[in-house]
Amino acid sequence: MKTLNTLALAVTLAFSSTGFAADAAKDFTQINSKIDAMVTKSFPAGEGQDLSRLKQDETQKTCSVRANQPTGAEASEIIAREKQNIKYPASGNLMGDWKNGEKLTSSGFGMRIGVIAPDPVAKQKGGNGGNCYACHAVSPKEVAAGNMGPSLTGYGKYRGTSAEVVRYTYEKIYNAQAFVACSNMPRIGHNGILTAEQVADITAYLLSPESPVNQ
Amino acid sequence: MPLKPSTSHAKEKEAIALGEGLFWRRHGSMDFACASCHAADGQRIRLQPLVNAYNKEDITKTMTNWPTYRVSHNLVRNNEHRMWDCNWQMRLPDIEYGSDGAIALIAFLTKQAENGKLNIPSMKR
Ligand code: HEC
Ligand code: HEC
Repeated sequence: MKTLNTLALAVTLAFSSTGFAADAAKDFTQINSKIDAMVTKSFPAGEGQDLSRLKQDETQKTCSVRANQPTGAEASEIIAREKQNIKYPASGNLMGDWKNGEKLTSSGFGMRIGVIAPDPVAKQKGGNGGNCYACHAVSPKEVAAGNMGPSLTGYGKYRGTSAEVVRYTYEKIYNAQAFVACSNMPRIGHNGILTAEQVADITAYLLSPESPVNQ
Repeated sequence: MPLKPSTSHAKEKEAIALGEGLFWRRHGSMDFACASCHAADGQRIRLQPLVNAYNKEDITKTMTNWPTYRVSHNLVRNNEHRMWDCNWQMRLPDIEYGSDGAIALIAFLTKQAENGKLNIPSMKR
């Protein structure tokens, strides 16, 4: 991946006048300790703050200093580590309740903090949403869908519901980086946004033949 | 008036470099960096178009348009406030106004929009 990047950089420099494109190989390893120190200084402790969220795990660190273009070896390391991080519902059932999955898919609520507008405590009891529409088209009925991820409309129609498909879908939603290192998709189960059971509900929403996704 | 970020002092250069580094720093429950949403053309969150900080035309349009009247807030806001808003959506704690981190981000984004002509008053969502 790194060599490909270098090539891309050479091409960019040769043909573009901006020379400052996002696909140029970036590496912040040298200045990373300064970036960390700056972050520590810029997010003061206080009521309603959770500074632990600024602490990076190994995967976040690698993806940051490489600007999401890890070397081949780093990518393999991330995928292996994130695969191990996947947890499953105690029942072992990876296809949950698609109706609950539908609600979780469209809700973007949860985990916002700070002094100005933290998520209201009363609403927090309803739990977090999966925020899928921020990045994906899902149900054909919902038009307000983002495009950062591929369309999931009709997701189950052509894939069927074989054990492999169910397992892949569950694991992908639980921890996107178990398949794509430095993916822009949040590690929704691993980061504690949704529980294993909730991820299984969304899996059912994407795959069930009765789900609106597949009509 | 064109945006002319000064780079004559070593600290100014450093702020731009650190700002770019912070722009790519992934953290928080969503694994987001600013770059997750603002480093590619044609991206949207739901129906909201996202500025690409590496597209000169795009970022110039953005940076020359602040401060702005934000219709959704009924107030004039500055760019730093908009970044605070993004930061909140990233599920991070509050970034302090005027902190080194906030200034570094603005320094980086202003550098990306260098020579853009200030285009205010303006109005945004
Ligand atoms: C911040 C953006 C973002 C959010 C939020 C997001 N995704 Fe994704 N998703 C992506 C991107 C980008 C990809 C493609 C890269 C990859 O495979 O990791 C992807 C890929 C996927 C895939 C793999 C598709 C395939 O064809 O194999 C599935 C399934 C998926 N997302 C489901 C979901 C679900 C369900 C949710 C909500 C719980 C969700 N995503 C939330 C960005 C996002
Ligand atoms: C999850 C996606 C997301 C992330 C991550 C994100 N932003 Fe944003 N950003 C948005 C959205 C959505 C808007 C509003 C676009 C609109 O109103 O049309 C926006 C708007 C902006 C704007 C104003 C754009 C304009 O044209 O006036 C700036 C500047 C900005 N973001 C900077 C940042 C910075 C700096 C960070 C990192 C601290 C960041 N954003 C992180 C989604 C994001």
